[in-house]
Amino acid sequence: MVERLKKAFGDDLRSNFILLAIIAVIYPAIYAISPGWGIVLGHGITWIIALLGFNLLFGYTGLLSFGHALFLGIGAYTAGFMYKYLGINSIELHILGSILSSAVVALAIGLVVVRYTRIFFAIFMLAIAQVFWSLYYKFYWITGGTDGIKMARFSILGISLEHLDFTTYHHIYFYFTTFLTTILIYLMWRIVNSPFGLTLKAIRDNEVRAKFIGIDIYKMRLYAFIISAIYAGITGALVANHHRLVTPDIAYWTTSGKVVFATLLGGTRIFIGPLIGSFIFHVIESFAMRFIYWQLIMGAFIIAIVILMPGGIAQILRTFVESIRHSGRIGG
Amino acid sequence: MIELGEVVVRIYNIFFGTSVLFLIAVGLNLIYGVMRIVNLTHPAFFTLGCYTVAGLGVGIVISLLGTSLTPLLIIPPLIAALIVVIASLIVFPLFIYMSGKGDEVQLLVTYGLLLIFEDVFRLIWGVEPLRASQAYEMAGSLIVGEYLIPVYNIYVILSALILVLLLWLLLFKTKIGILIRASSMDIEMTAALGADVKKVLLVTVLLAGFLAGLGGGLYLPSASVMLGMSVELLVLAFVVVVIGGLGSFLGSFVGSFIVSVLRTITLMLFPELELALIYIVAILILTFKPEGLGGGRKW
Repeated sequence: MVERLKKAFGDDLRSNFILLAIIAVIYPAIYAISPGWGIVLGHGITWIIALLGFNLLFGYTGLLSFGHALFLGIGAYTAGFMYKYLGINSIELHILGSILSSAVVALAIGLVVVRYTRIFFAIFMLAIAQVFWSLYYKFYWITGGTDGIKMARFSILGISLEHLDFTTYHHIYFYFTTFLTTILIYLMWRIVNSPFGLTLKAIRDNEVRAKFIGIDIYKMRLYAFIISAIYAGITGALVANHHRLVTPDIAYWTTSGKVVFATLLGGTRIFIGPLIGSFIFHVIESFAMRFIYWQLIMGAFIIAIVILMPGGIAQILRTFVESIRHSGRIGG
Repeated sequence: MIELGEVVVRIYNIFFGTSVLFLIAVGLNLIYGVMRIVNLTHPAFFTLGCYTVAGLGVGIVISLLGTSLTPLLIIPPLIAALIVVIASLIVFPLFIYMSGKGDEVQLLVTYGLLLIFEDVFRLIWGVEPLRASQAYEMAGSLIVGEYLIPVYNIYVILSALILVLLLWLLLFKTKIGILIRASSMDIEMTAALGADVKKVLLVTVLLAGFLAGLGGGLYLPSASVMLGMSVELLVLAFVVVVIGGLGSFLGSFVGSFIVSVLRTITLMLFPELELALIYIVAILILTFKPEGLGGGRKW
């Protein structure tokens, strides 16, 4: 039992699915009690995807991006443009479109930025994200500026959901996203445990040695960067459909801060970290939003996490479980 | 055909931009040079300087000394510098903590501080942009052809020149300056030779804060300060540092000048793409001359 728990907060795929399954089961009850909390869970599920991508880049590859909002913005605006200019409201097509667009943008940007690591990478990402944000603002005749792009309800498998009541509509969104997140968690698990994923960890831990054994560091980083961007782009498209509004805010640097913070909170380098981080972040956020100085709390938390608990909540849980096992042994 | 007056105005804008950017970038480079920390919080100190002048400094001066030009020119920036030095002193223990840690820790902690500062500004001064243009308006303008050149901005350029000179004297002619430069070259050796390195670090952080605060204080009367400015400045200051070379004193100057020229040109030709074009130049320089245009020399 303790062994299993210990594994759960480490690198274990099943515990992700168990946690997701528990949330999927209790979701209708929570929604019935309070729709607000049901929507918070919906946010939690949606953001897991972006955080998984961020964790691949930061936790597994060692590239810290302060501009992940860039790809959330690309995903969201792809969905928005597909609706506004092509009249497409199929969520599947929005997701496919955002995968494509974020991959293309990530390829173009990645060719340049993954040559740099650490400081330069972090700030280049911040700057490029700010450039995109300012473009969404300035080309208002295309993007709608601060008013953004209003979207109709999405359709799924070609079925329009316009006539449904909001509760049913939200349930469909929730379970569709849970389904998608499950698949993407599985894919990410395959990625980080493939030879490619191990190569990334090798590069993270010792770049010089990795180079000596013949790894093409630059290419590996580029692949990780593109995968990470695609994951963020998917969340962007989902957020656009969830809010039914795309504004430049999603591409602003505070969104990048949110991604950094939520992932750190859950735990980087730990596979279940993004999952835990996303839910706990959104629960904290829903309390803290009433308190408008939310960034202040977030900043203080980031510093505290970095200094006091670098492994995040997943690490704390793991240590806790280990200590239970230890005391059990002494007792037995 | 571009008129002479326009040329004068543009050149003069370039110098103004250079002065302001230099006062930010030099502190960023000082801290990086000595502590090997890229201080993402640094632009927030400049913004704090702006807010202090708008929200506090000008009010104090006017209530004590009345609305006269000379005190308004000199005192509010000094108040701003003082407040920022105090703020630097408060975060100094974090800098000591970070100085031996990895890049990720430094980036995340200074980023966290940036988030905190941005909200502290909102907490104290609200979401509306603030102005305090009394000194700017009272100083009047010079007329060149059809164009107006604000005298206040000339004052800022001259102040920046004097500060460069004073900074140069401090770094090259005083004992603490020599220790700062020695620490930036080899901090362990400096410590081994008996210098009080912790004091050097403290002076560096306070000096960087002082310059940023003064810079913000000087800049504000000609513009307004708003939330999110720290991040915009960070993005700009970082290009300056990339172009000039990280940790280089001369580079801060070269970088500020080049970025100002680029900004002036892009604002004239493609205002929508201002940042994008500046960043393309930065990336080109980082690709072909990674040590920056400051010559890669430390000082």
